[in-house]
Amino acid sequence: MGITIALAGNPNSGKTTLFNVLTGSNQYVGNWPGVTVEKKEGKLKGEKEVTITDLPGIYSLSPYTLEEVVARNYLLNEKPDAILNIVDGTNLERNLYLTTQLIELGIPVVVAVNMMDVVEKSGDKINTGVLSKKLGCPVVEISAMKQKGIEEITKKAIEAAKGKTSVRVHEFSAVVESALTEIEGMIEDKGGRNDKDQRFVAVKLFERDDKIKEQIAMRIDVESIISKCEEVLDDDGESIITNERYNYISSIIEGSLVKASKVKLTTSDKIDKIVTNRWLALPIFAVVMWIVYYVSVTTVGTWATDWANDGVFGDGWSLFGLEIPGIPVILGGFLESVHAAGWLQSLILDGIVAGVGAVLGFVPQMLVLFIFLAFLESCGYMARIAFIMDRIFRKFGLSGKSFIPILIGTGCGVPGIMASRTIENDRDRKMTIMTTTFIPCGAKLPIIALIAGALFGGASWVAPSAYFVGIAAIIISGIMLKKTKMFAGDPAPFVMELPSYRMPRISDVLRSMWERGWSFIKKAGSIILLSTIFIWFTSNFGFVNGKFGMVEDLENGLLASIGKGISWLFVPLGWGEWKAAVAAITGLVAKENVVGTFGILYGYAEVAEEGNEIWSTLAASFTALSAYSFLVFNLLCAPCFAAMGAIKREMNNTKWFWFAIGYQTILAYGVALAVYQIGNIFTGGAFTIWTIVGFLVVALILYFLFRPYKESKTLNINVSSVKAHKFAK
Amino acid sequence: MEALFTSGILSTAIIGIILLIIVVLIVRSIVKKKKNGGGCSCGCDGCGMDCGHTEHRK
Repeated sequence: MGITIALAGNPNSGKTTLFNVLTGSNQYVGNWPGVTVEKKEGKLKGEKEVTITDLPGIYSLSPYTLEEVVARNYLLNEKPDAILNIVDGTNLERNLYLTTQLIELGIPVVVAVNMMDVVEKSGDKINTGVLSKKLGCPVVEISAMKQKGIEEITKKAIEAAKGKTSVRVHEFSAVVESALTEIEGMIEDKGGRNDKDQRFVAVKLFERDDKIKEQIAMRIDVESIISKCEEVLDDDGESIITNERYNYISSIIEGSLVKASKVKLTTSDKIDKIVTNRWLALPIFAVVMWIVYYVSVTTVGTWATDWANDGVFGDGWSLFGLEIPGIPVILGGFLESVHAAGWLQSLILDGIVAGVGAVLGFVPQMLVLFIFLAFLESCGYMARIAFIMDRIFRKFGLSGKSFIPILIGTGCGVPGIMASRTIENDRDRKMTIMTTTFIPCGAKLPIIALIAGALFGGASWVAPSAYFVGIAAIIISGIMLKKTKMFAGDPAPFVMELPSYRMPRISDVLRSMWERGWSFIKKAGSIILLSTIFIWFTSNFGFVNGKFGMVEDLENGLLASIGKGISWLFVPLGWGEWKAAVAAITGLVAKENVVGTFGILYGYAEVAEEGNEIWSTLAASFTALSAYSFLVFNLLCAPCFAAMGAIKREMNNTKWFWFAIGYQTILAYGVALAVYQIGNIFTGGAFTIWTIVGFLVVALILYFLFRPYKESKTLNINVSSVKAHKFAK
Repeated sequence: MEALFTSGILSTAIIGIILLIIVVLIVRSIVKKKKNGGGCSCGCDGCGMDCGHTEHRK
């Protein structure tokens, strides 16, 4: 018979880190709350009979957020054999709120006081013996990150699961206890729950938890009992329970926690005084992101990418004086030696190697970027960015909670869009889904690096500007959309705990970098490879003199015909050439395809073989302005099919899906047009009808930005829910 | 036989078939993944970020 142990705890208390240690899996760990949205399962290392379930981080078992609903439903319906409650030792009081609720479920609970290394460093002392006695369950000190106390906690959890006992020690005041006993009696009268969670259900009914009423499927009228109690204690049911819980927790803390100093600022507090300072926060954020993109794309990343492009996918490279030929040279020589047909040589060299090689050439830059992002996430700075952005977003009607999906979107838009599930407010959630993909994801990095390198000579501002264009598009969209009837309303309250800064483990950073990088390599070997074959075929085959066959000139190919049919659309954007139009369209399959398509259409492999500067032919087809317009369009337009699929699923409505895609594409078109047309005037270009359209686009955006916000005087927040949230957190 | 080699017909056929097999395998794996996603419909390929679907890690 198998055993199931559920990991439950507050957000950012280290559940996923412990889950990874216990199961040996590689679930994504981030130093910000809300990393786990759904439950995850894994087998305990060395104990195949034991299943560990990692639940999303929750502050309470009240169903206010999606995470809380997921965790509560699991605990109530699936009934694990034991709960391993991870408690952040540095914030014991707040974490124990959930513990008191978990104990009421009637499932054996084992408390793991995590981050003991940090607690010891701060000089605080936790007496786990006293804590265990007062809570009525085993308490073990652990450090999931340093893998201390893991064996003991595993042993205790299995023992608890086999014992199947839970001791309730917490009692509310006499008035509340009498009300709860009465409610429990009513449940008994209706046939009982046949479960040990009767106490929990009674407390929830006392709190007027509507969802529990639906869940237990019993018609019980407890209103008169609650009202009577509320009259005596002069407070509402939910607040009575919350206050009494905190009183109880205070009594536990008194005997089990000795704080080293009450006034001393921690290192995290000192850093935050600067990093989250009202005036310094934004400039620091801008500088940090500038450095990240500058180093990734322009300096370290470029050296590595030059090696990959010129060497591995070029004419060769030398290692300690040993000349190693590039892949095109090796393959070309081999195909020549076996007398392979010309079309096959072209397919492999000009199609697959040129397309896939063009994408893979940028992997080093991606890896450098991913190292930076993983470091910023793990050290705790990214959580501060959400806090900083909340101040700005709030002014425009969005909450900082919307920034978490956007942060996740810097890796890949798909999980970013999915992370928007945690936003309770439907309007804010939809708006976040619509704007998340504006932030450059990893797949857009090759486009940024290509434009920065080939068209701007590696100018340091190009890559960071792409990130800030994304941020600006999100803020502008937030303001504009909030002023429409569809999205009007006050932003949802955003409560977020700032985790302590910590030095990330090198292995975590490298693992995160490798996992993200590896997915791109796999994508290059699958979907990109298929796309390059399609692009090569359609560009090299076509109708000449009424006959279908291989064409000498790409201009006569099928792809050229299709491209020429749509390229007129992009003439006002400055890149009306069919090759650029086709590249932008193929980017819908996967954004890396933009670079892959350029690789095939601009003869990446041939140029590389000749030893000429790679991408010089591409540079000849664009001006700096039209290249930047191309970059802006590809950054903001509809994302890849995978992300579009995620948008469709999360919107769960076809109309909303098309609205999102339409909005993204129109905004991208408008901004790219304005960039090119207005920029054209400053670079000595002619004033045309499209220049007027460019100015009109800017005027329209400004109108939407500055028109009065009619809804600002109405408060649209469910006050009782906010109050409960405040108490719960 | 030698003529087949020197003319490149055989090598072209062999390399072509290998390429075709690779393409079929890629298409098959994509279709299979979509079909047997174990409820996972996030569409991503395990990008390293957490989409909440454990099957990416198996």
